[in-house]
Amino acid sequence: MIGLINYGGGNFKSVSNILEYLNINFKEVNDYKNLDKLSHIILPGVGTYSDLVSKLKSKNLFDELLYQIKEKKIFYLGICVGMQLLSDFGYENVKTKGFSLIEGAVEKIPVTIEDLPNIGWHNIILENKNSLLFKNIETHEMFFYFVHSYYFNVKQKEYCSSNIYYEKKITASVEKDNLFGVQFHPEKSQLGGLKLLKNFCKL
Amino acid sequence: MITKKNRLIVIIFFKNGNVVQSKLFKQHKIVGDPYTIIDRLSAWNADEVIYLNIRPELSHLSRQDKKIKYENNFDKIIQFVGKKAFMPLTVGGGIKSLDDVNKYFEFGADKISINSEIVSNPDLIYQCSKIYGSQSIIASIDIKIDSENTYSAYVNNGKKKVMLKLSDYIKKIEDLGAGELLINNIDRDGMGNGYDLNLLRLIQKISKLPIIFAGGVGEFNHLSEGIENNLNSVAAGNIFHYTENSYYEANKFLNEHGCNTRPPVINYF
Repeated sequence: MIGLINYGGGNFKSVSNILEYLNINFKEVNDYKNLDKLSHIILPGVGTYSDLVSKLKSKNLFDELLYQIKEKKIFYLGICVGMQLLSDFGYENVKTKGFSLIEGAVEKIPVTIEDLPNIGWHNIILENKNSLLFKNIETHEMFFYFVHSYYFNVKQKEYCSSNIYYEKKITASVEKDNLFGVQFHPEKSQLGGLKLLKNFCKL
Repeated sequence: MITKKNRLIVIIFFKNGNVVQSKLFKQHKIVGDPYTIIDRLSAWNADEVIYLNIRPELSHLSRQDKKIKYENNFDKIIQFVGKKAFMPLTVGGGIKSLDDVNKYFEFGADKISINSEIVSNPDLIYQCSKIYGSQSIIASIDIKIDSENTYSAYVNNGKKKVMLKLSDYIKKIEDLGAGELLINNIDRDGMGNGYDLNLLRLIQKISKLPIIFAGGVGEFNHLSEGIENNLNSVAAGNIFHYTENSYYEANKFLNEHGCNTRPPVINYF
């Protein structure tokens, strides 16, 4: 069963709408007690890193979630801040410790000319040709919607399965074993996004 | 290498639960079905859509209109649209409190647009950006040339002039934590005579925030004119209502004229 986390602050609704549209069965998770017996977890996020961590902790979800994906190795897809959470630290507002499952920190995008936040569609650069997330997504569908000011500066580049270019390469997605994360919003990226979510749920 | 694309954004105005065309912020003509329009926008692969509610109490109603009790279905429409908008959806018009904001996010909105409350309740933007992040808060600014021949911001559907100088007003908005500006030009609204490029340059000089610019698009080349003047996000309303596949055609035009928008496609869901 796929669990969609509703921590009370993310874009739970947008993601649940699209899963319903795709006829994918899922369970709303808003409690640490509901996490076992899941095969997949999707954590949709908007807002700040520190806010996400404190909301998860207030529901006792942080440690249990980490246990499930680190020890039980269930499939995890983090969207936006949900992806950033895989890092060691986030630096938005206050330095906050994350899951430390993929080495690197979440930092402000260092721009000199471009706008911040980075809002809009990007034609993403696929770095890992064997990516599971982007399987069967056609070239003309490789456009995804981004809304962010912070990015995941991944240490080991082999875990970065796609990038965008915003004055420098910026992580668009990560893939490592059972861990997946996207900086963009697949639930708002039309056909490419629909396919990506389907790919994850079929794992 | 540039991976980012220009955005072609559709603004849909609602009044009393109807889709309307707007002219000079005064005349509103009913043009379409509020529920089915989202299907067309999805099929056209629209980059982004903004649903704006023109509040009945603020619009110019004739004496006769006042006798009729309208049912305002705007919330119902947003609830419906939120379920099938697999593209970024912004909702605005009449947002007065955090409860309103929560409500629209729960319906599936990704961003909310705040206009009159910037003046009457500035704390609302501040609170929203703290809770939801600035990227989900658009400050909508309606601008016209005032009697002293300078650009000024107006609130309450273009009726009340903001006393701050435009540049100070925008600075204030930035400080409050808005993440994007939606500039609507009252003088050009529904006129089809093209963007006011002087206004565009002025806003670009004042602010570093992403700008969505609207007001005056009557032909596709008005959109490309905006992009050629370093506008990343072009927006229009009326032009998308009357012609067949208008969004697709507009985007095709932009692509053919060297604008960096996504390739035009028609989706079949």
